[in-house]
Amino acid sequence: MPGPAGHVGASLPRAVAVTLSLVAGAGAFMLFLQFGMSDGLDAIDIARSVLIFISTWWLAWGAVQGLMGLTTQAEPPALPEGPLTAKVAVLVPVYNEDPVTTFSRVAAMDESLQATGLGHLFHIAILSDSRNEAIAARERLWFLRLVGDRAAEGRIFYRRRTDNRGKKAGNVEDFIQKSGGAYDFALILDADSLMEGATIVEMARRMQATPDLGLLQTLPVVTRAGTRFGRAMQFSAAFHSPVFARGLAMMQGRTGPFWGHNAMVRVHAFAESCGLPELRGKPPFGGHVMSHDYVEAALLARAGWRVRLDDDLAGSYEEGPENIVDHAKRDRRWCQGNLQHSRLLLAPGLKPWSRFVFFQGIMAYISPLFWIGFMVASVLAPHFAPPPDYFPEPYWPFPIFPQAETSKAIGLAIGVFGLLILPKFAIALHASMSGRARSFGGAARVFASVFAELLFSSLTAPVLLAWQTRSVFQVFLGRDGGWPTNNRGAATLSLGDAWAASHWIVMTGAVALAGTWAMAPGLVVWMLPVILPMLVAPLLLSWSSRPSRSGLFVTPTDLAEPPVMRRQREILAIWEGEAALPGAPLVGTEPSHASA
Amino acid sequence: MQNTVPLSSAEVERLVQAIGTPVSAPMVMPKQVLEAPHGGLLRGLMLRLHLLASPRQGL
Repeated sequence: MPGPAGHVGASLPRAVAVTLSLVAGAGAFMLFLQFGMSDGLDAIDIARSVLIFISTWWLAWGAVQGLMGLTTQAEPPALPEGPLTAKVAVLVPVYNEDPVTTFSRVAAMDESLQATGLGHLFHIAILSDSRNEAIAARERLWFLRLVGDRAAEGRIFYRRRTDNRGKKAGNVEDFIQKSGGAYDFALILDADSLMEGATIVEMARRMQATPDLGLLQTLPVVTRAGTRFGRAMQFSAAFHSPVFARGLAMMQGRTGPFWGHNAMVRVHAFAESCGLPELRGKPPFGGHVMSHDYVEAALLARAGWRVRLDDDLAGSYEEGPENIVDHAKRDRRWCQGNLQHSRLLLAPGLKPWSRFVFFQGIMAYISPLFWIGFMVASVLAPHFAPPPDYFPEPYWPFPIFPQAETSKAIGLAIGVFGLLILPKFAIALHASMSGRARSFGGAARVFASVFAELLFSSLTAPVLLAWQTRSVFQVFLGRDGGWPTNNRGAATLSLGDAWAASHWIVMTGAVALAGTWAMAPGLVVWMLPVILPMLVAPLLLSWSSRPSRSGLFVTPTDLAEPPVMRRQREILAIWEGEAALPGAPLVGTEPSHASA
Repeated sequence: MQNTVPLSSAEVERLVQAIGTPVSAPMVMPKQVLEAPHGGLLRGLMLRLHLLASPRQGL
């Protein structure tokens, strides 16, 4: 049994982060209140000040996390001693994925694992939840090909569930209930995950060396993006995310994150702690737990197990959405999953930090509502403002003009903008000084990329915000988004596709512009940065989904392709070539593909 | 390695079952308690603050 869960040095970083972000929020509140008071205080001024407090606090919370990541150093984990003896299952859940691509990743990982000399300790299980019969039939054929190529009979397994109860969490649970007893640890992957064998072995060694470690999460690097949107996201994830993750790691203590994949669990800890019940009622708030990973991390921590993010572990990769529409689809699912966690905020026995993680997830999705509330209230505010009183002193014959407080509003806007950009430029500066920028193409290219990413994210933010807001309303109105298949295929959106996906955003932007013009014309200029991208949303969607030919957004995996990625690319090229041949046999007919 | 071209889909399925089924080593995975028996966020909060009578108190 693990020892009692404590907070290994996490209390101070948490207190600092909470205090700094609250101070920033309070500062914004005071500034805006003074601005609002200039023409007499009314209820809408107070409402706007509260909204700006919440929004600024949330922005500052993210910024503090980034700055904390910059100013701290990962504590090296205890070096594992002795030989690795644990048995590990590598779990690859699939759901209507292209088996050629997915299984080529399995082949590359298996090859990489065997190259470590410890491959005999690892089994790979492909856990299919595919509902499409044609895809399932292809999965079976390509499984035979995979086993043949890798000479992996008895080492690589495939099973398909007859019903996909519980979605991915249920899929993993089903494996653990039937086969978990054969393994000490399980590496949980996604269909698009790719990991170096050496990394997987190192994870198992760390798990073996730390008996109270229930789950070890790596920081997956997004790879192989080809579109403008994908490249910008990939750069941001590779360049900024490790620093933010470091800040998070400082605050997590024993209650670290689980992001659902590229993480290793201790099987008996997971089995005894993470059986997820169906929640009372219907989706979106009831039914199976959608964003199961956060809940499983909380349940492991509740049972006394340590959950840890080791951000020093390299060799962990995933792929991301290539256009804004696919991103929005995935975000719709995450939105529902995170809002469902509101049901679990008071779940019995959870660690306070686990509850806070749920709260953070909910805030991440409802925070746009506060900004929208602030903007709507600002447009309406002139209609609530009392008429100016130039003679407030009864016996004073000269008019007293209200003090102009516009500078405070401008100062606040600069402060909010600063919270958005400061951490990113601080990370760029730090990378230039520490030499980290070299692996991103050099300091000049890094600064240009950071600037371009800021510009790009500023343009796309209102469009993403519109989608996020719609998702939140859909969930609140009880609409279940279901479990759509991830689109990992063609990324380019035609203007027609983009219009079909985003015409409602254009209409919303037009209504917002007309409303602001009619009710508060002085605010039109302030609202344009939000409204203009909404008006041109189809252009943005289509343009950003096209292949990138820019020299910006270079990441380390572009400059030096990791071995497992290279092998997967080679295997996939061979398999795809053969799959494209009409009537070509799939399995075991050519000597070159006989057992390796 | 067997050539799958002459095999029917049922035969492929049987072959996959034979070599693909993971080892059998059952494990119990008990369902965890995530919701208070008298659920509801607001109700749960009020109970914690002793602003509502617990159902047990009525017994």
